[in-house]
Amino acid sequence: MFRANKNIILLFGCLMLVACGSAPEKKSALGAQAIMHSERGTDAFARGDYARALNEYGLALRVDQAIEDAAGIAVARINLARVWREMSRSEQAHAQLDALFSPPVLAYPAASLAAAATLQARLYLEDGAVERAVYWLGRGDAVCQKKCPVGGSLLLLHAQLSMRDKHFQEAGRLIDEAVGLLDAHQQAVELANALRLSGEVAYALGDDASALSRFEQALLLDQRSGLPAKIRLDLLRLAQAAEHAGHQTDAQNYAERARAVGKAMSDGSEAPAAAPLR
Amino acid sequence: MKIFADHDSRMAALERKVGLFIFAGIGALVLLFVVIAIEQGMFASTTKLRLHTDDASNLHDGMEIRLSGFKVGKLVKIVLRDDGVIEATLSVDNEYLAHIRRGAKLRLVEQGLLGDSILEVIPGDRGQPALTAGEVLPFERQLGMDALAHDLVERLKPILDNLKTTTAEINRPDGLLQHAKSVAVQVEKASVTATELMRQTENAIATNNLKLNQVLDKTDALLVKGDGVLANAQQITSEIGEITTASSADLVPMIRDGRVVAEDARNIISSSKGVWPIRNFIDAGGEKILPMDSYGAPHVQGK
Repeated sequence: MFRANKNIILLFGCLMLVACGSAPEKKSALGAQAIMHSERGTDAFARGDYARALNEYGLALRVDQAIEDAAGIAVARINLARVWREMSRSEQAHAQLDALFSPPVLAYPAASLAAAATLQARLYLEDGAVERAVYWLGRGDAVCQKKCPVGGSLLLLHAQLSMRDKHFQEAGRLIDEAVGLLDAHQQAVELANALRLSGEVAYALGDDASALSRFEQALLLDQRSGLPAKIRLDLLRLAQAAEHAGHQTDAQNYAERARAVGKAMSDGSEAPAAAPLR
Repeated sequence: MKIFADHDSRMAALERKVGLFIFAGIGALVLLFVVIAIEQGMFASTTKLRLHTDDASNLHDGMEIRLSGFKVGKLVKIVLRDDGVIEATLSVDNEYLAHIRRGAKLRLVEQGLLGDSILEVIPGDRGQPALTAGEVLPFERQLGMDALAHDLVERLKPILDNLKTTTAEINRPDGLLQHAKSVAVQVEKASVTATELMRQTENAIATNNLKLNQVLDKTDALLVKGDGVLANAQQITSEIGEITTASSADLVPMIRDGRVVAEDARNIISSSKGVWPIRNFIDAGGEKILPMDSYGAPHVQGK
């Protein structure tokens, strides 16, 4: 009886393995080429070599278009928009993203469309076009339903809109929800953004101790990610919060550190001033 | 005579003969003159031309005018005008005038070392209009032997002067020659010193050679030992070669088998990647969206 059961279990196990096992999807030579260009673009972006990043993502897009790889096209366009945004060229960024929502419509992955809508909202928010930002946030929410990788980012954008309207409690709630959705390993930058925003909410509500703590946490994450502009922003926020809390020496120290970082990032010249805390 | 003529008829014939002789003689003389005149071109149709110069030397009446070696006319008159300019009148045969156009020049040329001077016509451009009577032709002189000699003297004179000055400079007591002499004396002294230095150097080298030989002797001993080590190394290399040769027959199939094994392993790993739950732990690769950044100014990435 035991022997028969053992054989049945073995047979079942083998059947399960066969059922679960499948040949890995092999990319075509052109598909591999697109991936190669995309990876090179990402490396260039990480180095701050935006011209190279544009070139590589552009090549990836051409290859993806040639083989009509919808997912690849979406990724390439979103990445191109992201690079244009870093170069403060929002019109080019919008052009790339608009292409994903205009004919010819391909079967783009929902996650990519959500990411594109989030980036559109982000760009409009930066330009002060709140209505357009709200529209694109709505489209992003509709596609994502808080289940996609940019779910946390969408909530952070909602939080920023709430802060604009001085709904700090609502903003705090949205940020907490966003932190719950963000992956600490994959989305460290967004997590630091959430902490910084949370610090700003605390600062606006007069809770200097919490604000300082959140800004410190954000600074730690940004230092790990190695993002000078973010580090500088965290230090400026810390300086403002410390000054507000009456810690003048600390405030001066943070301000000096922020100035040193800014000088180093901009090859010796003074970096532009950050927006003040509300 | 009339009495003779009246009485002798022969005398009358003689008178006629003498008359004929005289007439023939005069005729011959006239003919001679005519021939000479023709020869001299007295009856040729000519055109008068002129030349102006400030020096009449070597110019004289009757001087030939030649064009490409042909005599085409002659100088007929030289006069010194009131303004001091010497004017020569030339007579040129009309037959050749067609070859002498406006822009033509006259050049005084000496024919050889002792030859006469002639006036040579350098013809003008054929497209130019014909000359008219009395027209003045430009005149120039070709340098003669005396002029060449004078020119040569003028050119050589400064060179000779310089040579003279240089020689005087060299011969001065504090000049180049004396300086060269003193330098030669110093060089001689220096060579004596150098010889002494070389002698001392040779001595030093000899001493050092002695020491070097001693060192080389010691090195020889070391080399002998080194030879032993090398011999050992050679033996080891030889043994390695023998081992390699012996194993080479097995090596090729081993490599081939290794390749097959590696290929199989790659296939197994590749297949395993697609099997649950392993595939969940492996990065699928492909194009990835850059991490989202929903807060902060642009230029967020480090350079």
